[in-house]
Amino acid sequence: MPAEARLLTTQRRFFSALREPIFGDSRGRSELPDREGDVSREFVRTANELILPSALLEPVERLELYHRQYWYRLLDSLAEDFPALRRLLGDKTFWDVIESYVEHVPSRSFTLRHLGRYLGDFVDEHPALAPHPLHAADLARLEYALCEAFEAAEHPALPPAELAGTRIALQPHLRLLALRTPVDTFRHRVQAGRKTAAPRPAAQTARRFVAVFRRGLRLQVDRLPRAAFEILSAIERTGSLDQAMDEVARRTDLRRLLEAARVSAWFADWLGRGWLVRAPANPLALVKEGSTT
Amino acid sequence: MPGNRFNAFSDLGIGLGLRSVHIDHILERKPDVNWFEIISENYMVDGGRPQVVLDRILEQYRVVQHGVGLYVGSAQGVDRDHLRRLKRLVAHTRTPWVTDHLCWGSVDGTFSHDLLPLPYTPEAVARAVENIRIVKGELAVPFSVENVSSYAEYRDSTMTEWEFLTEVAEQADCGILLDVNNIYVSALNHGFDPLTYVDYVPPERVTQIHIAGHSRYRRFVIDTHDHPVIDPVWKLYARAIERVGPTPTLLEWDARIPPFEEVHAEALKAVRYWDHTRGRLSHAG
Ligand SMILES: [Fe+2]
Repeated sequence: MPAEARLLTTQRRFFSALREPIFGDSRGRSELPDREGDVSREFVRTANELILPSALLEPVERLELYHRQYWYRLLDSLAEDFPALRRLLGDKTFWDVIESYVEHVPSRSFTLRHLGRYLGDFVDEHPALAPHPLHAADLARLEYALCEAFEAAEHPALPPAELAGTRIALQPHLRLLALRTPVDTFRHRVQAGRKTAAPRPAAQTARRFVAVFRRGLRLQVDRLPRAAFEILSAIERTGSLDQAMDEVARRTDLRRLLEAARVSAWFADWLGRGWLVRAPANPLALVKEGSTT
Repeated sequence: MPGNRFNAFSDLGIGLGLRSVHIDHILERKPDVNWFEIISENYMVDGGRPQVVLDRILEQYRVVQHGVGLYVGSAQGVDRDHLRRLKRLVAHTRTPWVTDHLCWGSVDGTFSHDLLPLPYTPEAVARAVENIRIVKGELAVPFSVENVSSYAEYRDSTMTEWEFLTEVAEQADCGILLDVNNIYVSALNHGFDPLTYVDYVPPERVTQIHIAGHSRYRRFVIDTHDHPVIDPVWKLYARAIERVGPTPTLLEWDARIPPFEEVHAEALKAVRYWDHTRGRLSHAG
């Protein structure tokens, strides 16, 4: 092997070992449920070929120290970011779900704060992992939206006079979610330290529309009327009031809702909350930090 | 003249790691602390509470940036996006110098979020030097690398860790953040004399010193930063100060964090060794 490629090979082999699932004693004093098994032969080979024994530890044991540290760090970080999901699933199922998630979707960002980005999608793709997969996936998306809103930028509110005719955008910390289950209520009860009932099977037709955003530094989750959600989503997509309203007006499923709605009162409310802002001069600046890493 | 060209000739004294559990206390009570060290990556955000807190701290205190994500030992080079984010934060905090670890932690775009040890080989020296030169070229302030604690040694290594650290720092012409607790932890795990390490490091490159507590298990020691500093680590610290002279020193306490005053008092113990050194120097003179 050429000398200059050796470091990369070492790092790749070391990292593959870290990413192996953890079994048996390695789960030791952690909260992880028991899982029988042992590290793979490849793990043992990597350890023996790369690492020296110490007076007290074999190469495998030394590599296992890093292996555990890798898993504990990533799983603890998810446990911190998804407390309501943990309550919904119960400890054992929660650890199983996030362990399986990290196995399939390792961290692709410089910060652990982005680790849960695809947890909702993952649960949707692996419904057998959770007893209430729709609730679990919705709740994962809701809690991740809260993580994003926590540290997103706040741009100055759009002056009402600029509503028409300017390129507009949504406030960076505003996140819109269409939920299939009432998990916003569930999360609210968890947060308030109240009792939570086991979720009932979700009826696909009853969608809930929510906005996740900051007020000052406080995070808030509000329900939105469906038409309001559609208008805001169209603004997010098109960056223009006129185009957004045209798009929404063409949709026959929304026509009746719009007729009954007080759209101008909604806009006054959104402007007051700072939900609408001037679109950044460079549209790429809207790409959220981390999505490119 | 205190300090050296790698810490902008600073005489900052004793600092503390800024930790979220202490922030309310600090903002309300405004304790008399010379400086705070922040983890750069925690403040690479667009807004919200982390940014507001940082700005309020910056109004009252000197802040020095310490990173955990540059990975200058990465075989695939440093991440340019990360460097850009770092540069933006440096302009904002006006940190007098920047530090990160001499380690690796990601490969092929996947992150371990750990500080993984390097093999001590000429290839790893060359790679780290190349990466550090890129970092130095981008940053407007001096850059230093910290020695990490480790639990494994590679078969490939052809030099000691202290030779490796020194070689990298000299070839890249950067500073050294000397973590004496990490030296102690690694010495126990690998069976070397920690004083040999401290005595080898070129004193004119030491920018800053880290002290911390750790956890000792039956067969290994983990760098947990969840205890007070133990006597053998203070002894190493004293030796480092004797060689380097009074140097900006920072106590790291990251888990099971006690109340602010307790952490602060632990950090201030470091001054004993400064006075002691000064005393010896003046006697000698
Ligand atoms: Fe350190």
